[in-house]
Amino acid sequence: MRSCPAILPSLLAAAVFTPLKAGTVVLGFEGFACAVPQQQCPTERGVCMRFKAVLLFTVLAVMCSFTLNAQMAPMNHAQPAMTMPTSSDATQLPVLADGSVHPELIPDDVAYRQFLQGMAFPANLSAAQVAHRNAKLKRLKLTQADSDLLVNVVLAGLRETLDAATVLLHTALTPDDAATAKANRLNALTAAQANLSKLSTAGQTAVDAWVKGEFKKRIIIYGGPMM
Amino acid sequence: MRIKLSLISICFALLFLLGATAAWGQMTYIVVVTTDPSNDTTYIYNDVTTEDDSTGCSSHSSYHTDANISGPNGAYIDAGQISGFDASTELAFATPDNQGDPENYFAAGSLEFYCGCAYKNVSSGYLNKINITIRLTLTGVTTPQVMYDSDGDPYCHYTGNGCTPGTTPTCKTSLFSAYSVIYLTPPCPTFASVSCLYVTMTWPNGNKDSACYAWSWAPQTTYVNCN
Repeated sequence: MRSCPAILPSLLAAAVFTPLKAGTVVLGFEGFACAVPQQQCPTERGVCMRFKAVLLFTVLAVMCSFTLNAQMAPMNHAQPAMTMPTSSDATQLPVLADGSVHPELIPDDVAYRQFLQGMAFPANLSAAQVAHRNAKLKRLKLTQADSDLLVNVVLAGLRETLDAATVLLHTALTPDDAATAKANRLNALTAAQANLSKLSTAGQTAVDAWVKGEFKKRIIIYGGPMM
Repeated sequence: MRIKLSLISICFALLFLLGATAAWGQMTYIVVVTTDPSNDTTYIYNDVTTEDDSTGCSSHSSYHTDANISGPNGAYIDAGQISGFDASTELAFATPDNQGDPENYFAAGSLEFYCGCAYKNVSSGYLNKINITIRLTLTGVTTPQVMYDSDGDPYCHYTGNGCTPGTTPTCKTSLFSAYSVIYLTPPCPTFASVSCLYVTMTWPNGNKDSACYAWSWAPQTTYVNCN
């Protein structure tokens, strides 16, 4: 039997820290195999106190590692196929802000992102899709020139970018990939929002009135502390 | 020396565990779901856009956005669990008759995803159910004005304002607007009645939005009462 290395708690601490960097868990089990000469290590009922401390930290580290692993693990794509969310087995989130009741609680940026996302159609539309888009455009009460700018300049390529980001998110193998996908998505929507300045002043005012007035009614923000 | 090292290690571990606990406490779901029904004179559309702004957990995956519309006589259409942050669906509505009851449709949407931190599926649910009522109403009767085209041929021109959203349907000719009827073969019918299609969206909190379309007209030899 080897004696307990004094550095063992340090190794455990390092092991616990490891997931932060690598997203993997390395646990120091060495403590389980060590024994301590009585004269070197105070005992209680024949069990090394330091060993007990190490054991305690090992257990805590394991628990903590599970937590961290869940946070830091790469996107698990095999699992969703097995656990496809359904209305019946999903935990329902509480409402944080209902735009139809309190539109002032919906942040402007969120409303603009959702508006632009909903207005983003693919480049080559079928006749049915054109009718669909027109039904949405008509509500904005824009001039034809502003409608054309909105469709052909502000929203140009946005649907393709968003769809590409979604594909990247769903195929992401690492948290970095997922973060990149989310960043791509956010950047595209932010750029489109900035491009709204290319509309006429009246057009910008009309869009702003729609987004902050009518459109916010359509938004609900759900959430709360992670359960 | 070994005791010092052990103490330092234990302190590190404790600090780390405290940090992990704090991080867990900071994990918050923030999910945005926008249910944006729209319509033209043929279809009801339901576009659902979503985003996940949750903090503290990077292992959300398997996003599925749902959009659905239900209608009278069991009519129901669901875009299904569309992978990603957008879902869109449309349902052709039956044209109600003048004397018929309003037809009720409902549009709703949700976002569901897998939360790797909590090891479970999470859903917004369908609290955003929007009632869409379609009603065809005889809104106006007007008298003709004989006019002449560029060739000097006479025609009957009826105009008025019967389709202003939010106004009470009336038969007073002075309140007509938003439509113009041309009847090419004089002698002109004494009256023209106009029916408008009212589309009213009602949010769960009772807020309403109305749109109105001049739908049909008919020559009348006698004055008719509005319904």
